[in-house]
Amino acid sequence: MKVLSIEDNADINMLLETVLTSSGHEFVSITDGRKGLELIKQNMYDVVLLDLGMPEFSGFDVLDALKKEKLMNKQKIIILTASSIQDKEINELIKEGVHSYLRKPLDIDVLVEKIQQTSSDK
Amino acid sequence: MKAKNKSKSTKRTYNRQRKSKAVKQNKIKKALKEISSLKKRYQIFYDELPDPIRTIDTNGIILDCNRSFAESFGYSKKEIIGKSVFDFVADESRQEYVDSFTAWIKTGIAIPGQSWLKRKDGSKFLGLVSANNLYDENEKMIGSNTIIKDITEIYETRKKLQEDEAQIRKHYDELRKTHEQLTITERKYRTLYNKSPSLLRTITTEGILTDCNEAYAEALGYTKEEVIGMSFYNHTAERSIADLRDNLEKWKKTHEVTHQEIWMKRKDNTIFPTLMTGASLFDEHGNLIGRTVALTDLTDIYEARKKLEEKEVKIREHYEELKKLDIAKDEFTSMVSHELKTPLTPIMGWCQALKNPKILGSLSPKQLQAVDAIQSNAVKLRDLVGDMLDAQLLDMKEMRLDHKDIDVTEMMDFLVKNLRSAMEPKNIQFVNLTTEKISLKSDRSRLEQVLNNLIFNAIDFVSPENGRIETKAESKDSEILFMVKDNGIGIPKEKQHHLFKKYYHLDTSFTRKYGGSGLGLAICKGIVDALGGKIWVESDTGTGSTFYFTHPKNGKTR
Repeated sequence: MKVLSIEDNADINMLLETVLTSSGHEFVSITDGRKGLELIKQNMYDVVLLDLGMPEFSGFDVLDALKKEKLMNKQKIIILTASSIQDKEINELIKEGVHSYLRKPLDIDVLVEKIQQTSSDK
Repeated sequence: MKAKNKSKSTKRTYNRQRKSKAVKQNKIKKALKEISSLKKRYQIFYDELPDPIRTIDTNGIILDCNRSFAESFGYSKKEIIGKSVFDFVADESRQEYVDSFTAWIKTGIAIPGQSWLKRKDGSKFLGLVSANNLYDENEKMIGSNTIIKDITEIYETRKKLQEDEAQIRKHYDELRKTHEQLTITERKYRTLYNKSPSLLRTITTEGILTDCNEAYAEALGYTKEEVIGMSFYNHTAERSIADLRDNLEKWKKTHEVTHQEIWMKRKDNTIFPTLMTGASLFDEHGNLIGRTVALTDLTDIYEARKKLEEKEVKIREHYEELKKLDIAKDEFTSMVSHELKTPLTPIMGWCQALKNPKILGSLSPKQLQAVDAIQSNAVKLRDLVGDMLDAQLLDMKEMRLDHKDIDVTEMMDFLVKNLRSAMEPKNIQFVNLTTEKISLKSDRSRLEQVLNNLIFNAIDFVSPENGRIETKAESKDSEILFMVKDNGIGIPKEKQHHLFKKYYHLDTSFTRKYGGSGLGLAICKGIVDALGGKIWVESDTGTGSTFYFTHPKNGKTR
């Protein structure tokens, strides 16, 4: 599968790349939220991993822009969060079209499993 | 011739004799007549004498009495004659009367005296009894005439007079006492007035000073002589003149001195604050003639108040600063926790990746050991950061709860299964005693967090040999009661109430020995509170500890 990671922390991107490519996935990462949004719009990926807590243009901004343009269902988006964002808010986002979420620190086994799952979801 | 002469002489003598006898007889006749007349006059006198009189013999038998006497005693004269004098004496005077009578018989001297006498009808009167002795021709005492004067009225009057006098004396004594007291009071009052530390002044209804005490004169920088006659406005600071004028007018209407703060003015024009209190003065007809007021110097209180106000401002500033700092602290903690979580992702992720031979190839056992150490410490760090965040949320009452239907029985089974691996290295027997089917509406992840914290707590403190931990959920009335029990070292009673406070360990060596943030039980309490339940511990040194918490069946939560 083609996985896009929008995450400002390069170390995390490197970890994700190592883990996901070893599981047979294609992996692209970008550290800039705005550029990430453009890539989502191009609709070239099976799964997007979106970090909510990025400086300047955050994951929330990305989601807001997608909502505005009614492009939420275009890609399967898994949000990654380290903030104390509440279950309720996450459920809200899921209702609006986000596929699922993962809390930081990540458990890579869970991540791999989750990505595997998305391929079976429509 | 001689015979003739002789006979002539005899005849003369006889004639003379006859003549003298006749004279004598005449004289006697005349005397008798006079006696009879005297006796008659005496009898009339005796009978008509206005004072009661009686005649008695030495046996006390009444031989005669006059009309007044009979009337006085209510008898007829006939009834009286022949009676004993004692028959007329009232009981209370009898003994005295007998004594006096006996003395009279013995000495012949009748001393006048007062006796209570009684009438025929039994009524009594006080009589003044005075007697004149009667003698026969041989000067032997044969009785007396006794005059009895009714002095009841005099007696009553005198008695009344005596009573009146006693009354007057009593009144007089009282008056004298009152006067003495008044004098003392007046002197005291005077002293009090003059020596009182309060500033006292007395004014007319127009505000002219008629008196003041030493303190007043001194405080204002005048002599007392200067003050008398001045208007009280001269002693009042500009700012209080209107107040004082209002006060005076109100007082003249109500006669009550209103308490008021008045700024006074000294002779040198400096001013100072006072509190004025006072009392009205009235003349004997109740007309208002003036008032005496006490002025309490408030300078000290004013300064103290000013200082206090300054202090309060400082405290308020301090408080605001602290509040800001507190918010900053909260924000800082929150930020730090998040910032700490981000680098944990690559640390923990790389550990996982390194341990998976499919990703980066196999590690040597020593390398694997090193990665394990990094990983377990990263987990610890993650848990600490998680605790800090939770405590923060509970502090800010911001922990939001997500209520869903929970199968409690299943949850307990899941927990036990999940935690069994943590028990194995310590060889702990871990038992779930839940038997009932229980369901509940609550936030499952928070409920699990509480149970997890309590169970990990038990793992830390359970007995190192034959360790046993029991857990149970049961339905009790309107609540579900959860229990986590260990057979460990126990908790001394006196330390139990600190247990649920933040950052509390039984002692600091504990933290070093067992690790942990010291927030676990505080978080449990915070969550249980938020879920509407209660948490407590039953324990003592050496007997192990049992933690309980309740959850209402009808989730009343915030």
